[in-house]
Amino acid sequence: MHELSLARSLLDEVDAIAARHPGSHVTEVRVSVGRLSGVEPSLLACAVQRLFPERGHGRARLVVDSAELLACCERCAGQFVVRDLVLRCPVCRGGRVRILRGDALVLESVQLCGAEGPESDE
Amino acid sequence: MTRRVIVVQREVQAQPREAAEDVRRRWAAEGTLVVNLLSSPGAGKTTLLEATARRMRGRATMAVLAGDPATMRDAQRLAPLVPVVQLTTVGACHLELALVERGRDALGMKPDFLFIENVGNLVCPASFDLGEHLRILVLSTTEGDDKPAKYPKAFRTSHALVVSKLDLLPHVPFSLQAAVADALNIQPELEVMALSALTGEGLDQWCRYLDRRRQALLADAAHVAGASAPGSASGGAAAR
Repeated sequence: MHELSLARSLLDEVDAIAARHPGSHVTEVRVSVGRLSGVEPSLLACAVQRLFPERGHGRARLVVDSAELLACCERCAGQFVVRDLVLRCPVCRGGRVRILRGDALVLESVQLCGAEGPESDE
Repeated sequence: MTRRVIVVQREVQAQPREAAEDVRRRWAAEGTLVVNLLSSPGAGKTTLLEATARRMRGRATMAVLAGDPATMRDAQRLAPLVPVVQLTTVGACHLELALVERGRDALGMKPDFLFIENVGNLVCPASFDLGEHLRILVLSTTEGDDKPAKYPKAFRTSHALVVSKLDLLPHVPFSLQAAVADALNIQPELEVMALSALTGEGLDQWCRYLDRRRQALLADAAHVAGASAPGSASGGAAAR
């Protein structure tokens, strides 16, 4: 049950973004849960929805997308989607494979209402 | 009212990754190889540690941080053999870095090998970096050969697979070949060993593996210490 720890970290990020846009409130938080993230989406959603009101985001909704596992072969540099959990390059059969996406929980975006300021968090 | 979408696209960590990296570097600089043992409950982590402690005696120093949701039983078992601190999680299903650091402080020594015996669970511990240099997955022959496919993250994030209870292999429907094949599909770079902590079969290979990894860690640490720019670690022994 590490989803609660993840939910707290997620809300810390959301709080920080909201604080950079004074006078606004959070209306939507969009995350993606990777296939190899080890995160159970419904447990995460349950934890986040419990935390929203106590963090002052009572009007926010959480959107959870799923992310496929995308990998890159370090030998032939080919990119491929891992469908059957075989993390081996389908072209050259190389075993040195880097995961590009799909092994983590990612905060994709935060929608704010009444906000001024930049549209990227960087 | 204006609506605005702030694009973030940043990984959310259960705990800050930098904290684990700092601890990993510090342990390496102190000459301690830190090994995080992951397994289901009852896979034989404590028995493997008892056998390892007997083998290490007189030639290397070793200590254990034993994690469990309740009781001091693992610490009581290991105490006659090695310095040990019990980390009781009070029901939590995994160890976190802060608890491990407190355990290390309580230990008050810098051993050659520090084993962190994680809470028996193949799900949550896989998501927590404890600053270890090696993550070892212990899978016993009595658990079934389907576990690598069922718990991919634990296998993907490990450096080595130790198949334990090899002495029971003739008595259980466990295909070593199938388990290893699935594990290697998920992590082709996994080092695979099979052993029995009771009969001693495979323990020499296990201890040689640990020695080799500690030598690599010391070589890396010396390289880092000698480099002009701090943080230019090659990361050869860093956890995945």
